[in-house]
Amino acid sequence: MVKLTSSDGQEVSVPKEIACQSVLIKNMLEDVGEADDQPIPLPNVSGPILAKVIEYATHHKDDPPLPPEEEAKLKSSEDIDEWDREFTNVDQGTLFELILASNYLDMKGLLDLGCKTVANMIKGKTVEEIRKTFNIQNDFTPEEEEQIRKENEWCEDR
Amino acid sequence: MSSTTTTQSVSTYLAASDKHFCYRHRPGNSKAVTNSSSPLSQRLEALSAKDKETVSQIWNLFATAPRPLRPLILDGLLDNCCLPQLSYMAGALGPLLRVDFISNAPTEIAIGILQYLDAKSLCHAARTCSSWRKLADDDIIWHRMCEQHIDRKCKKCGWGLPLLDNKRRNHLLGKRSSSARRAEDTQGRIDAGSNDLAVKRMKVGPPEGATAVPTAETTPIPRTDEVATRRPYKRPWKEIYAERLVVERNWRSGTFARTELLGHTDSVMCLHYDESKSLLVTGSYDYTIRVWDTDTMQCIKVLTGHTRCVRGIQMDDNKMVSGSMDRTLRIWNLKTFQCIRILEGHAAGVVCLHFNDKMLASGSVDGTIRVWNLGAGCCFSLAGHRDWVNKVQILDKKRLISCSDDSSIKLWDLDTRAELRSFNGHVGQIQGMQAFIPHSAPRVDGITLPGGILISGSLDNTIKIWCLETGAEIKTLFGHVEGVWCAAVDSLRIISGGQDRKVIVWDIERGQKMYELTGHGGAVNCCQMTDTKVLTGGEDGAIRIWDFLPDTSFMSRPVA
Repeated sequence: MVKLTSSDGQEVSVPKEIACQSVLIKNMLEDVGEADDQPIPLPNVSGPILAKVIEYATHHKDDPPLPPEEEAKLKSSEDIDEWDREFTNVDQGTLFELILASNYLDMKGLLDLGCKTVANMIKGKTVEEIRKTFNIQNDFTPEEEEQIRKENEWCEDR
Repeated sequence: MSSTTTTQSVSTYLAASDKHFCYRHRPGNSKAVTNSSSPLSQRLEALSAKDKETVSQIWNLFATAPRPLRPLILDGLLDNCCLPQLSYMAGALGPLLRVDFISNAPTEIAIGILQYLDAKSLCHAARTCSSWRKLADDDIIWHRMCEQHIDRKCKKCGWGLPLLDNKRRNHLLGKRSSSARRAEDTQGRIDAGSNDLAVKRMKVGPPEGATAVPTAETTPIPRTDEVATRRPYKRPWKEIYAERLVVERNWRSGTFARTELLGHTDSVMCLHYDESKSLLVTGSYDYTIRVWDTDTMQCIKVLTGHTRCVRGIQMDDNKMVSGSMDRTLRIWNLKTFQCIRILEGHAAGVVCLHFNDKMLASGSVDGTIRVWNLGAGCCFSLAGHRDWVNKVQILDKKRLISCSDDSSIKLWDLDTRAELRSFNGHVGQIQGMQAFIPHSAPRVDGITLPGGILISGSLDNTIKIWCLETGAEIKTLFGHVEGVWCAAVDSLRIISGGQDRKVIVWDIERGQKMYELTGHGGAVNCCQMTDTKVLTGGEDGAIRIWDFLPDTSFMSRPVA
């Protein structure tokens, strides 16, 4: 078992093979050696998010290793299984923190899942719908906006 | 106490107690903190002194409460809420929980998100605000889009976009050293009659002076990188993608501008177009060769010399070769348009020709093919066809392919000078043929053709698709109601012209007819296809150019 401490001081114990899905933790364990049972501090991950991350890692503990970079690139964002879809069915704040945490913990599978989920939130939306979805302030002048609209006109199906 | 100080104290508290700011309260995100229709301070000021005091006190107590206690405080507040207040909370939370992932996540994550988008969503994303625009227009993302789509079918969306490698590139390059130009020509543009594409895409060893960049034939994308390293101008990948998407859409929908070139007084039998030079040469039954400038659409030269119909024509950067029913081949200086050499040897009329640098092949009425070495001045024959040889194409230094009125296509070994294979299946004379070896194996009806594709058009009214490697017949295309005189293929489509005056555009992957191009007043004798154009020559003496990229005004964007 490996002990982990979240940013808000919560301590959890997880089986080593689950904790080691994080490349960051795996490297830390390799550095400090097996014998050390001091908890590993994770100052960038809050308790609730750490719980989510462990939930993900537990579900995916038997996954085959990730395909090489090139193959992964060809994967579509639609390619998310049922469990993962349900797992990422959270509010944007949680999703944002999950993405940052997976980036910090170096968990490629979870990071990709987060990115795909956000991409799916953008896909197929109009400009105004995207702004609304992500609370984006339009900082273009009307002239700029018109110019950028023209610049991107080619993408519309005619 | 005003709410400004409340906000400040929140920030101060967080800064003091915890080095990690939450998304909403990190410095620089003032927008998110005061995300209400009217600022909190205004609403607070509107209250009586006593109420003001109470509200500020509650706020401050919460703001100074340590993090672990906050959930408990909130739970207590929620417990006190009546249903309408809970509804109010539910409504207020939605907008506050919206996170601008792209602007706030580290750049590599933002790119990681955007790379899952399609072109249209990327364009919409770019229009939302300036920070999204910067990332959604990023060259890394559009380079990948180009990699996935150009000169291949994207596995995600099934679209493939044309290479468009000639004209614009040369315009961009402008004047370059002659050695660089030579190197590029050897690599990329061994233009060859209507049969140029197979040769063009074939890998040729890196010539002198060429950079270590992989040749464009195997990997088309780096070629533009190559361009970029040669000169400071760098075209955004997004613009490259956009241009090609527009062309491909036009191809799919049959949107084009048509031009007619008139001048020949009899049937046009052969043509060759060099898009990079905007130069078109045509040979006719009127015994002449005409040279056209496709920028002005004017005939700039009429070449005479052949004493019978001109049946084959091809040019490269310096020379042009023509073949005629007068049994001769003529070599012309492309700068001065002087005839510099006449090749005699065929015992009967010359019907077709194809050259590749110093190797020239010509097919004749008597069924023989001659292979000329223009450097050494020697020549040998390939005998086997029993009737007119209508098309020849040099595949590489070792292989040549030909089709004939004897209804067969033959693949020849140029070392042993023996027939390697015969493609049998047509029941009429084979008039048009092109072999094409793209860098990514073409697919027809779900069958992958790793060694390349061969198409043939016959007077039996059909077009056949063959596997060049095995000789297997893959598919027969029906659509012409009379004989097929010419056909051409590239990685995305096939075109054919026939006695029925029609030009048909076919989808290569599904092996189906897309649409017809009509306009010729007689049989369509010869055709050539580029990434943006179809060029045809007809029995009516006219040449027609169907341009699928007539309008480039959408690329008005200034280059950064």
